[in-house]
Amino acid sequence: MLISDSEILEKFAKESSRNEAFELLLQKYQQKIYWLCRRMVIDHDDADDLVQEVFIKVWKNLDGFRRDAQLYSWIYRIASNECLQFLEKKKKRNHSSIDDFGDTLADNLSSSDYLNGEQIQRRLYEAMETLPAKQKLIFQLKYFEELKYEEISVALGTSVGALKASFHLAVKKIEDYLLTQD
Amino acid sequence: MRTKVHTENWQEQAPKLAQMEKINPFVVPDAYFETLSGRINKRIAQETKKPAKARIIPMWTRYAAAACLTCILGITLYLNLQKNTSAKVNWDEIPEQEIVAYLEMNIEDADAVLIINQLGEQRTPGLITGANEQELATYIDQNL
Repeated sequence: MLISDSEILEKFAKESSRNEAFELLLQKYQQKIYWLCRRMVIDHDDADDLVQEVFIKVWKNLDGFRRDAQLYSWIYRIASNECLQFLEKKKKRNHSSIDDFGDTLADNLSSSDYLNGEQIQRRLYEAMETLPAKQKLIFQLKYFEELKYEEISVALGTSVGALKASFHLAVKKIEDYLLTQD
Repeated sequence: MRTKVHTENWQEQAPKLAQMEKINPFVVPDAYFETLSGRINKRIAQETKKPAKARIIPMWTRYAAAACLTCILGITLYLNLQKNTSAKVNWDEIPEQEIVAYLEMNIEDADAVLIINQLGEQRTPGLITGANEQELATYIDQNL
């Protein structure tokens, strides 16, 4: 049985059980955050770096976490920011346009040592690589993580209306891509 | 792990996507998740043990500090010079009695030559009546 977020926070507040609380937090969230990062950046090593950075930030800032937000929303927020910043930096390093950058990630997808699955799944990920980074993130949080719009709104600091519009636009682009590949 | 997509109102807009099963096509290295928390904890331990970074002082602050120091030294020196200059003795303000008392207390034999020379230049007739220079020199040699 997974421990609740409030129990983790209570344990973390006590110096004597702080390490235990963080270990429980890692067990609960590390895979979710890894997969979020992995789908965003495709490459395993990059995702590995990112997930470590995310949890280091969680450790450093958990003391100041205010309970007016859900813990998982807060962790998703940190992870989302890390992913977007990483993609932005990588794009600048490559001096490439957004479109070219999408192609680069799609190339990573096809050359990844750690990718299997059916062709149609590959095409879904290729289609996702055509989306702008934030739209891709919104699509992921809604489609794969199955978060509610209200939860994504807290995590990304974007209005529910804007999220709905962005998600539907992403869905349409992906559908078009899948149809053209048939 | 395969789960059916929770169809929402977007399925009409994207029937092909809606029909797809969610399959994670990515794989991770063996035992990756078993070791992940250990590596994260190790990184955290390293981060918290990091020594404080040496503070880098910008060059302009160094120049500013040097300029301030120079100004302080200059002002101090100037004020000291002013003080010494203004400490000139105004002889007119010192009573004659005090000068005489000072001379009586501090005059030494070595001053005799100077006094003799002064006497030689400003010979006062009343003082040397009845004594020639030879006698006077003898007297001084014997008594001073």
